Amino acid sequence: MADYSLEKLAFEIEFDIEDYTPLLELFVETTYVNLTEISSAIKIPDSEVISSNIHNIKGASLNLGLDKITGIVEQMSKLNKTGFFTDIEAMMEECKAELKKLRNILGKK
Amino acid sequence: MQKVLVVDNNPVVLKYMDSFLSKNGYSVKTAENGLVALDLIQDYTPDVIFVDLIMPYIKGELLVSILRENKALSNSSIIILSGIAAEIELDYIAIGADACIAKGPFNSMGKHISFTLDKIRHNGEKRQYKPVVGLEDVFKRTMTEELIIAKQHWEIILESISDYIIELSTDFRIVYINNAALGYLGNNKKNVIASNILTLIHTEWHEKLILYLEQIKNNITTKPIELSKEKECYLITAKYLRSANGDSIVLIIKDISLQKQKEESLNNTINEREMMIKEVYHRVKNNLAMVSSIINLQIGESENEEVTDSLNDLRSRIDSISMVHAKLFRGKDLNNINLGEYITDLVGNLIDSLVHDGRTIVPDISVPVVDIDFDKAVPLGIIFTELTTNALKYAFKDQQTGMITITYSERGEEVEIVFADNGTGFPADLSINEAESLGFSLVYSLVLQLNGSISIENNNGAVFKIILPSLT
Repeated sequence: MADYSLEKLAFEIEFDIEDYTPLLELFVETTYVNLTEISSAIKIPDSEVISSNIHNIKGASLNLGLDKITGIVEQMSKLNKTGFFTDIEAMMEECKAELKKLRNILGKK
Repeated sequence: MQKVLVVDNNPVVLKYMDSFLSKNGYSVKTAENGLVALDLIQDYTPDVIFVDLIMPYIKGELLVSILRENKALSNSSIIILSGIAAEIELDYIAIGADACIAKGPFNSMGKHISFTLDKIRHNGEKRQYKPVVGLEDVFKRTMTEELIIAKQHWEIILESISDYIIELSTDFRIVYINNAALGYLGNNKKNVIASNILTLIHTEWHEKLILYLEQIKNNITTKPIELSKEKECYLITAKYLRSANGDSIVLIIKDISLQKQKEESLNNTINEREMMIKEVYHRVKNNLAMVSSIINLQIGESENEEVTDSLNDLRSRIDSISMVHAKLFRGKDLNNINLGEYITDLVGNLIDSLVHDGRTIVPDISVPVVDIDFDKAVPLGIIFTELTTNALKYAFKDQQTGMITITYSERGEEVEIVFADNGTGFPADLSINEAESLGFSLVYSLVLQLNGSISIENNNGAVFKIILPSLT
């Protein structure tokens, strides 16, 4: 079921699992906070807050080599600019699904 | 051991940098935004400072400029570490940085950081314009570039408008200030950023501003406040911005000093005008009182009853006009008088002055508080003087007691005023528009002047029904 492997993710950015794991844990935790912020901002809607949170997720996912999540938030960024906020919520669900997978592999560690 | 400060709002980056640099033999401190960084350098002098560009509160470029001007950091190297390095053409040397590294996957970013730190440490390479390091590891993101351009667009507008715009952290420290506000403070941006706003404004304003900002923070009010001292006056509107990266308060400050001075000048002019108008009313009233007194003297001299009656009527008419001026002189409103109060006083005065033979004439007046203007008050005053005088003279000749009733009712766009007495009534053949008496002629012509109509009937006494267009 899981697309991810902790070893593979760490290997791709030349990290030891011991160094990679706490960073990934922190990423998952902070990204959930960012998604909650985006969700609240969509209701207003506040494009700047959405953009700022997307920027945070995008930067950290790129740092950790999480290309799929980077791709999803790139799409969210485009939708934010064009004002398709409802579609952003759909993309957020995709992002949450990816986070869930990451949580699973962190839980198995 | 070299000391490093990393300023970045992304906790993942801070954790990585802390771990990476510590493993490479550096002593590391981290700050999640520019305000925290400025606090840290009060008693910490890092050899190298990494600064992110996109951060809450103070943006990276401004933070770099502030750090570069700090004399204690003259030997420190400043390295921009940013994810938007691929999207903007940044002349990092111009803003005071020594190098710029594009954020990317941590493995390659780590290599670029090591490479740059080695160059700075061993070669003393400082402040030479070089391309951004690490760009090959990140892809250019068109959308981010467009958002940056849009942000710059808004910043240009904010920097150009005449209102003062200041953004504060929740502990009231300035994190953004536009040119207009800087002009007012007579200071430059680098000196003002991170200062508590209270240190830059009159102490008399502190309490009110703090209370207002707390109310804005707690969503108690959204209304603006005024802060003034002597001839200075400002309208302050605050907006509270909530964000996971740190809440802030935006102040929009409008200088209304000139507007206030003009308002004050206009109010003074209005007050002077009101005083002059009151003075005119006062003098007219006094002159009419003098005319009334002269007529009264003449009444005393008269031995002819018909002449005495005519003079009494004349004096009553003059007194009714005088009363309008007296009410306008004493009242707060220079143009309108209260009809109910005026009619009640007028009829009461006429009863007091004309009934001396022991009869009891009771007024029953139901006219509400209606403000009418001067032009309508004078003819209405004369109409009720004539009708009351007529009733007092003729209606109750055979009665010891009598009642004068006046009612007022609004009917759509019209007003009906009924004047009635419970006296003997009219001769059956009386027609008011053909009456020969001066009093009725006056009543009839004044009702016409007010675009109204009048009818009379006998109904347990005389009843005058006056229909007028709305008086208000």
